[in-house]
Amino acid sequence: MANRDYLRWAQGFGFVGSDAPIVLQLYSETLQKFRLAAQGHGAVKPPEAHRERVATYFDPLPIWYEPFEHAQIASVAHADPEAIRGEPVEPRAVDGESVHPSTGSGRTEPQAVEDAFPLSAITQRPMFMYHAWGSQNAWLRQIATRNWLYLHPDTGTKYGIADEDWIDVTSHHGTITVQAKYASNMQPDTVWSWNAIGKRRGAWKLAKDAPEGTQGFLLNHLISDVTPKRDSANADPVTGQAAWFDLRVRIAKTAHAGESAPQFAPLPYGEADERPLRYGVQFRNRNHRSKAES
Amino acid sequence: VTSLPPPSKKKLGLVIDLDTCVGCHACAVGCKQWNSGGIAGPVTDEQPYGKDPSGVWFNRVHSYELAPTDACAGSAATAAQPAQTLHFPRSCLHCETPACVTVCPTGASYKRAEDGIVLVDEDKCIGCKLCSWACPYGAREYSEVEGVMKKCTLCVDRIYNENLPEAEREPACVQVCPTRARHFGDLGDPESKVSKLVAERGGVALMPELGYAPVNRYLPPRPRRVGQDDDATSTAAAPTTGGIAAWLGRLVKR
Repeated sequence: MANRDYLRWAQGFGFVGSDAPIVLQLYSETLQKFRLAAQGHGAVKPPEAHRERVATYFDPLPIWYEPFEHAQIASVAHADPEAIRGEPVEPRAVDGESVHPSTGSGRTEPQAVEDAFPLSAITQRPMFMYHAWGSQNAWLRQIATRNWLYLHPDTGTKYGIADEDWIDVTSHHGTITVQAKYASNMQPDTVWSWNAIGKRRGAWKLAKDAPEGTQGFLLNHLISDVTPKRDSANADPVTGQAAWFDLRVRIAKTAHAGESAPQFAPLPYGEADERPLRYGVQFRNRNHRSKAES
Repeated sequence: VTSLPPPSKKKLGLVIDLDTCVGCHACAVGCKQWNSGGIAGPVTDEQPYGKDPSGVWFNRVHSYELAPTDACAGSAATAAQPAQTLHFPRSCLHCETPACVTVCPTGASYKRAEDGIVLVDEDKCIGCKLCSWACPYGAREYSEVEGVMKKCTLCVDRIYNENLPEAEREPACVQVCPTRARHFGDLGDPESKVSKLVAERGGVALMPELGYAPVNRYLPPRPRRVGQDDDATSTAAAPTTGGIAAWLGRLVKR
């Protein structure tokens, strides 16, 4: 058995569940089958429009290529200055049908094309968000009611952004307005936030002025469902996984401070009961009486 | 105006490892959940779905950013430290001479003679808040809704609870911690696991100069050592010297 001693040791340590051999497939026959089909072999072939893409990216060995959004932005910026200003555009889906309009507001002036989108923007989850996955309650709201866009202080200085300034974040797809926060423990060429705290007003019956709706935001508004050249889905060509982490942005101080954008009409669910929560009061000894009740 | 019992031999408390705490707030939320149904409930919340929600938490986690530092030569050589986030869970330290008890005008605030746990008898509490003024650690939590002072009970209704399996007779925050950064035990016994952990890791008391003799201890973050690989890629790279055991050993020790 290959690597037996390591596997037994690792299993003892709890790194792996069993000491069965771990086979890593460096050469993937599955990918090679797709590539051969795209190259014209066999009875079943990918649709003509996708053959080159399949032949290129279904490589049976590990390869690296620049993410599509990074690679395509410069050419798109040259060809379509409207797009880099974040003007409303009608992105086309791969099949040519019109999809949702961009949320771009066109507030930001164009810059030199080469540094039109100098930063990567990603979403992560802070540790405490693991409690909030798919849920919301009065306790978790006290840990965080809104998100920020985190950036390295050097990045802030470079773009004239102070800690907690309101900024416009622009991708090839649109512009959002958010509040920035300095964090030294990150890469200067990357900004990050976490999604899922930002809410449309009225969602979950939160108060209309709840920070989730007024200051929270979603990075999703910057992410197109098609690549900048609109020649394919904005997704990994092999797995189809949406290419959220390929997002490139620029940031600038905004004149529209105080509220995140875009904003939408509040959801008509009404507001939750605002009386204090007293979970567990019914478990108290019958003789115990709240001072508030006496 | 409330007297302290004679010093107890047993000093129950927490040891919190700041090296492994990831700031997930599981301890804070787990505490709130247990204590809502326990002897110290309700653990109230105001404006729960409003603009500025607030509530009673016996345990809170504060996160701080540590600035990067340069390498330091000399006898106590340290490597350059990267910018880091430090998460600091804060709860009652169950002091040996707690000012929150001696200041209490009604005897509601008291320290248990048998194990040193500091508690509030809510039926005697008049909500005057003198104890929260006296506590320098901010451990007291006043419930405006109930009109009484609340605080960490060290889960006194868990640790002696014979309805729970023995392995669960620990404070809720200790049970729930996903990185096992929280430890519970008798800090009055130098042979206890927690005392040995404190000795081994150089555990510290918070602001001991104030003289309240906190029982809880905090284990400081381990600094990056001199000669240790200073970027993640080299640690993740294939082992070159010392074989895979040495390589994994370095990963585990980080």
